[in-house]
Amino acid sequence: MKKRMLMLMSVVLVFVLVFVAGCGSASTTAPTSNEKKPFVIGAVFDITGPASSLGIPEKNSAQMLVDQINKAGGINGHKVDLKILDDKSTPAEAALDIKQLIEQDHVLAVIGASTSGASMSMVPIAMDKQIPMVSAAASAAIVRPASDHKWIFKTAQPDDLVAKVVVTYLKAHNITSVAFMPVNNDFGNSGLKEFQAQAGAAGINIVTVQKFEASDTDMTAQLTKVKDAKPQAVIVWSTPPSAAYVAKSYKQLGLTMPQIQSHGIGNKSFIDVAGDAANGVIFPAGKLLAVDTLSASDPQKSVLSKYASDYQAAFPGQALSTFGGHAYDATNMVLDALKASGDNPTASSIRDQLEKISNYPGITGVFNMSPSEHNGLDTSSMVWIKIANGKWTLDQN
Amino acid sequence: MDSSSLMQYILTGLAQGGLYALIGLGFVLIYNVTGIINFVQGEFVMLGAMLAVTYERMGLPLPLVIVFAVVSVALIGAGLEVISIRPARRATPLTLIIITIGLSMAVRGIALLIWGTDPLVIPAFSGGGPIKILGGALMPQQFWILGATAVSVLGLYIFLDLTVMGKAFRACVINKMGASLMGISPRRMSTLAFALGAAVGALGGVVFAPTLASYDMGMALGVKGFVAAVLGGLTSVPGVILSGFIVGIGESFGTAFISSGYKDAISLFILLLVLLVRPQGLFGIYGGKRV
Amino acid sequence: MRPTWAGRCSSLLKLEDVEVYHGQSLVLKAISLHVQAGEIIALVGANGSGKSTLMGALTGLNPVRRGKVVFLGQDITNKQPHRIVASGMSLVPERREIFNALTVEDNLILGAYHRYYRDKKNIRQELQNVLDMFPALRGKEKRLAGALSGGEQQMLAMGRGLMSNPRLLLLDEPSIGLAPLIIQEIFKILLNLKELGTTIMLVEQNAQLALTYSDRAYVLERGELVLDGASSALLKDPRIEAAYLGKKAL
Repeated sequence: MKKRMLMLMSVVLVFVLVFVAGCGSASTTAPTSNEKKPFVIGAVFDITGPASSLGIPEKNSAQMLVDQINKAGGINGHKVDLKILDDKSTPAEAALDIKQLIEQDHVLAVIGASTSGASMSMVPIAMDKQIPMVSAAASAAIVRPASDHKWIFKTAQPDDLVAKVVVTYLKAHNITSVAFMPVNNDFGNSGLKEFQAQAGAAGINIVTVQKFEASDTDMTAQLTKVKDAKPQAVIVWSTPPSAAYVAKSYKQLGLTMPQIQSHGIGNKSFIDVAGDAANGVIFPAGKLLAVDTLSASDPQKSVLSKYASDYQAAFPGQALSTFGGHAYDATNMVLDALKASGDNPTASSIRDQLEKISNYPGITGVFNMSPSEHNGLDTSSMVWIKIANGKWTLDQN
Repeated sequence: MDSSSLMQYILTGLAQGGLYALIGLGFVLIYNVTGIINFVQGEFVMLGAMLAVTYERMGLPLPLVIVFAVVSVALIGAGLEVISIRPARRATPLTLIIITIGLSMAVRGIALLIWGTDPLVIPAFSGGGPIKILGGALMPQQFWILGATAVSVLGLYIFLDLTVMGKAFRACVINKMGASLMGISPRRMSTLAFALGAAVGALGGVVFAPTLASYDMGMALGVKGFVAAVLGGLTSVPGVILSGFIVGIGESFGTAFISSGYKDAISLFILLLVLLVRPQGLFGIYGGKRV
Repeated sequence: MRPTWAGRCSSLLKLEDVEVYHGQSLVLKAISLHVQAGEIIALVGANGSGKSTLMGALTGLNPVRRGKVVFLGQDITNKQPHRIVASGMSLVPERREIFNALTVEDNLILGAYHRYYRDKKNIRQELQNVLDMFPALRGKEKRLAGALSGGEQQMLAMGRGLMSNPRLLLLDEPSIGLAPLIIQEIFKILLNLKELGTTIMLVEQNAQLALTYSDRAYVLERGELVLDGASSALLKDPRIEAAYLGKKAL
């Protein structure tokens, strides 16, 4: 009997621990009971799982902004109640999360998710329930065409825009043959599609496409094939940690052609994991990574500086990341839309306000939304960053 | 494909296979004494890597980082055996295996709470650029992985063949009843098996820590080690080492010529195929137990 | 003679109403017996009468549901096998259970495992003593135990049992499957051991053999003790002759 008890106890303990582990990272702000009814908004981020290096700064940034608003008295006297859920980096969980936010928490708008795959699985639900959704992920397909995505907006640079930036760079450097290495998920595959669409017209030949999985830790096999194909440059379209393992294997094989990565590596985790193999990598990114070297006349300068100092004060020891910036912009837009909606905001009033955003300096770039454009960024929102001595530096070429 | 590319696939596979062999070794040690497939094995690897990060950040020198991480995980392994396997030892092997699955989830959950979700790394054990072998290249850290495999096999040989406690351990594997009649406690040997299995797993984790230390790395590596162990027949040390390398090289060629997305499927497919043709594994012998 | 306190203490092993079950069925019913220091005791019975089960109950392999096992004045009922070995009782099991994949020498040393790390020096010497006792094993120390002949394996199992320095050596069917000449040799060694002061309890299907070499004997039938007494007397008992020695009752 005693042994049976002990065994049952350990099984129960296991389930308790698993449960605690599963719930520990999601956080919510308790509604305040006094005065006016709080405005409830929802967010879905990849807080655990492979994309957690994106999701955690996003969660922090969104929460920080809402805390600031509430501290200052809320919006027109209404507190803002931000409900954050973790999709564990999976599209299926993301779909369940947004359903829960809309059906149980009756949110006015949803922010997220962190990755393209998770965002894509949320789109049909937001469309069906007619709730505005502002994604922080890259893929252009999340909001295009805008006529079919009336309720969907996004803040990250779309991959067709980034592909354009990359193609422009290649042309400027007379590079005509490249190898393309996308991570095998929505982010990588969508990047591949956009790049293929633009490379041909620009006379750039893709000599080999080598895919890898987000969970892979050694890319020497793929890079050996790349080496055999003899391209002038290699373009990697992924996020850390897998993007960092490409850099590591790159160094192992002693490859010398330029290694161009994507905007997906705009967080410290890439440099942490890749170590000195990160040096020499160039990638297009938002201006946040180069905030210190930005000229004072840049329209984003003041927004960027405020975000950088606020974030580092609120989360000491955590590095800035462009992903946190995407969520910061998304949250800011929703809050501004709430402010502009008066005392009785509705899902549709928020949507209409979001579509009116113009000349809006954010962390990611200057946004100009319209009925036909639900991202509103152009190539001026991106700069080239080169990693040298383990640091981001503005690449002036 | 030229010969240097071929060499690269083989080298990549060997380096990765060394790690799988180490993890598989842990499965073999524990299975032979307790009859349990221990699903916590992958988490021992994770704990080894995580503790290596923690000790490294405390500023300990590398040799101490390695020793402390391995010893800590060995103690954790022994502790888990005492609190969870020992009280239930009269249960069926299936129940015990389910207990280890539960344990592995618990260990992962606790690791998540302690270390968070960010992938962590420690500096490579030795600096320097890649080392060229017949046109292929390996990083110095990958030699550390192969070295750790060699050291583990040698250490186990010394323990199992040259010490009386090691012989008692083998006696317990060969004939549990005979061993207990000789004053060898199978319970203590079961705890020792978990400690040893945890130690070799942790060593794998420590040498892998310059590549990755993440709370959720254990499962995937555990599966590879399991495949190596079963492929090797679950009872033989040389078998599991060789199988580890086979899985590693198969994976490397599978990545190059099929797709890296299928490499997990490839190793499991190889395993199924081998089990259909030779249920005792590539290097196992029916009924016979040897370690 | 009424048992006195002193008398009870002089018995090495004492069983009081021991009952053992296999699942729900009662296999040993209220067994009470005693072994005095210096004796050779035989336990005689047909196949399935419960002899081996009793050996298992003494050494902690089979759980005792009721009753008490007292060894050297201590209650050892249901202690773990390795603790019982350490307290001075060693079983040479029926199927020998030697470690096939280990060498002869390793098998013998493991017999002394419970005290190996405290007594390393003496163990080397005792190993030589055991080899003296079983000259057939000499020169084969480095061979794998599995490669020995049946008789040699039996000797190895006995030698391994002796390495634990037992006060009481239990032997389960030492003659099984062996040629008559070898059986003779083994029983001579048992007499030798008795001379040297080891108490022996042996289980045998071959009643003639067991009764010839033992001082006293117990007869077990379907889990119950039905007869006991001096072996020489039992050899002539007509009930024994009929049941176990293959002679027809007159």
